[in-house]
Amino acid sequence: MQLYYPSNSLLHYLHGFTKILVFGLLLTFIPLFMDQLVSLTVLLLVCLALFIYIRPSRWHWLLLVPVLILSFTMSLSYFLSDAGGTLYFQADLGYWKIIISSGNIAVSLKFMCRMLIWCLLFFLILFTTSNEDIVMGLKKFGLPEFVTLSVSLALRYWSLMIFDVKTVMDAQYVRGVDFRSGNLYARSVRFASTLVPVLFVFLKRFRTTSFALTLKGAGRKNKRTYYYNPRITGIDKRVILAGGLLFITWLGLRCFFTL
Amino acid sequence: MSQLTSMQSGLPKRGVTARHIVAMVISALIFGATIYISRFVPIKLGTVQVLYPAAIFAPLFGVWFGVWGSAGLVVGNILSMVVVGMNPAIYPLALLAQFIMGFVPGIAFRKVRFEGAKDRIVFIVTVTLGMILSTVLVALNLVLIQKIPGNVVWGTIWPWMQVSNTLAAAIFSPLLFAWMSDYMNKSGLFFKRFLG
Repeated sequence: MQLYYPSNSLLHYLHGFTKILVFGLLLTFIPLFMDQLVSLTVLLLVCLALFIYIRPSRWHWLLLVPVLILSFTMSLSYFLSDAGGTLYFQADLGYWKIIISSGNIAVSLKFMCRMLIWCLLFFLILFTTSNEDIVMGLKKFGLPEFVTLSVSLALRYWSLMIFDVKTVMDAQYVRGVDFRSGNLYARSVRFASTLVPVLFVFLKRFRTTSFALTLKGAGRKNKRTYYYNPRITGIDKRVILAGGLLFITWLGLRCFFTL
Repeated sequence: MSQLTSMQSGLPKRGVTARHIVAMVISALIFGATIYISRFVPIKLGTVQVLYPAAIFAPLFGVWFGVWGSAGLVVGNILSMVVVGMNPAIYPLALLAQFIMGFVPGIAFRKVRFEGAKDRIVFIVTVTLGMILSTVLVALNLVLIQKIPGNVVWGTIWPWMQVSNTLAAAIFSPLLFAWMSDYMNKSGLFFKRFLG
């Protein structure tokens, strides 16, 4: 799972802490309390501009496709309730009523905008921050050592886990198990036969990890030495200040206008 | 004095060791991978997945690894969100729900295998209780944060979660527990105490 790619945008130079604070928390809370479709659209365009600014590759752009599908399918549930407005279509399915009205379309679009904003903000963090920097950022928030270490290990082992499953499947394939033919049930049963060997491969790998962590003194309370420990720079401080000011300005504006 | 020593023989004295971290990572990876696979089923009710097979595994990690397995469920859910670009900051109650899925059966059932019908009943009841509590939290997350209308959440999504999560877990979790628990015990990873 390596969504990060190196580049020379400003976001790539920021500390993980700054990006999690500004994009993952401060800017994430703004759309939560936005009720106007126009405001949400403007914020979405700003996020999209930032997304273009970090120059994602074609593969990274393609990741927006599942996000669009997910947010669209999620927004469909709003058509099960009546949000008022002009009624365009109504179908009575007994327990459920599907209502398409101007009110329902509006709330559904707002939801889609919010989801897309949140996803874009999150992609801004993931595409510009390496796993090590995300962990260092979390550490700056004061999270306990064992939490950051667990997140770090989970991120590292995610891709190794896929590799392990493939290895076991290849071994089973050589032994004559066919994963590519038969109906869905037959394939599922054959796939289930990989479950126990995969589990044992994991356990073996994690036993080694456990020894390695013990040897490195995991859980000890004494001062640790970090080989990689990036500092908060002047740019980070300015971005945090700008993010904070933007958040406070928005809170202030919200008192006088319906945003 | 000896009583005090025995009281302190749990986590505070021993601290967090590699074993606890590994237990968290194992549950995070397996739980996260199961959610990740099902995230691509493009049918959603609000932000809830129509099919959630991960709910079957959640109680098992709570029972096997105690509080560490339950914490791993939260990390696993965050991991699966990260890969599809979903921001975990807007799902605080849903993340807590993942913890509850493991926490309730984990704290109530601390055995490595079923020793009789009573154990099976206790296991199923605690799994069901944990699932009902966690689905309430997920529903609250939908109402309070995703702003989905209450009648849709409580009338459609929450009842569906009882079929998708609670019923599936109540049926399949005991079967998986009976089948896989011995393997887990032999690997030496089973935690006798809830706090490790």
